[in-house]
Amino acid sequence: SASWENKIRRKLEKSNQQLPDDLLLGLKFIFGPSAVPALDLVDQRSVTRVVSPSGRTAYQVLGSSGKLYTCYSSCHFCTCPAFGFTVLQKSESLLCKHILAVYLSQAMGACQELTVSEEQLTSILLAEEEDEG
Amino acid sequence: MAAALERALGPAGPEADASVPEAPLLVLGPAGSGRTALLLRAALAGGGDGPRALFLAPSAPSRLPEGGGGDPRALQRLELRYPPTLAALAQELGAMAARARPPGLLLLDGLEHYIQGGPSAPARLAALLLEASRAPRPPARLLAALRVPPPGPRVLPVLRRYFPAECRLRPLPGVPLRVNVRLVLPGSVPRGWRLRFEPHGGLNVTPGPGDGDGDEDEDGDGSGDEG
Repeated sequence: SASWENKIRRKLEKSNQQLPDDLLLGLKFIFGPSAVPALDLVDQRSVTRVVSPSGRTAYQVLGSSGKLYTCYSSCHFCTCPAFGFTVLQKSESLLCKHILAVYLSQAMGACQELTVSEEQLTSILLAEEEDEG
Repeated sequence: MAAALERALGPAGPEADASVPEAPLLVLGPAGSGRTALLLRAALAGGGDGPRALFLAPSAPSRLPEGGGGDPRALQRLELRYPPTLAALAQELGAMAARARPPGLLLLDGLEHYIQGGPSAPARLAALLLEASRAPRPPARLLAALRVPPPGPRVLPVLRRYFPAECRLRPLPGVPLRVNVRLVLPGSVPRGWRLRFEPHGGLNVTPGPGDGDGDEDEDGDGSGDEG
């Protein structure tokens, strides 16, 4: 677990973001296997906050496979298969790595921003569950 | 929407608390148990001074309610729209968000009709509704109805993740047009009413038992009552 924390620390130093040690440990403790992949996604600037003219928002997260997943803003929902399976069906996790990456990106100011039309935002919210690549 | 339901149906009886916390509310009941009538009554509660309400369903109800407490202004603040598909529903919700003054109540009838697609479909539908009720402006109260038995064994547990409050309609066996209503809120005592549907379209409401009368499988989903 020391090597795990060193790996996190190296990633964060590379991206010039400092998370306090106790926060890192907290992330690992609560989110387990999602924590490191989520921090990877933040590091890679994979999270985009999408806004429409009315002020509706959604998040798009570019997965490691190159697939784009949609996460909702005001409740937990993600189009990735892990959300449907591990969170909803098995109740093994509170959230998937993409939702965690959204929270972390918001907290760390690492979201990209994109403005779209109302119709485009509706399409994004209707995006079907994606298969893992 | 839970508080609005209690306003619509009146005090639930001597064991009711003074206030019912607001929460997105799921209305469950078999065919013919009065889900649509209950939603419309909740929409019209408060008479002419109540909030504007948007009622969405796959098709028009067979009967519109008599005005809220006899106040014709109540019907004026009710908007009815009938998106036939999930895509059309999403567009209605998007259009709602774009209005200068979005409605204060959002009601969806016929959840079972809109659950289309893969295993995440119930979650996506619930999330779409929550999203529409919460953003971008001050939240609208949300009430949605599902006919039971649900269209699959995983539908109800998933919907319950998004709807903390639940209202179950149970027709009384052997007594036509009479329905028991039980409102379940987390951390709160269940509340109950009895409904009687009158031949001319009226609805008579009285406080009733909140304890579910000791029955099982209220949801009709094949599993025992999860309480």
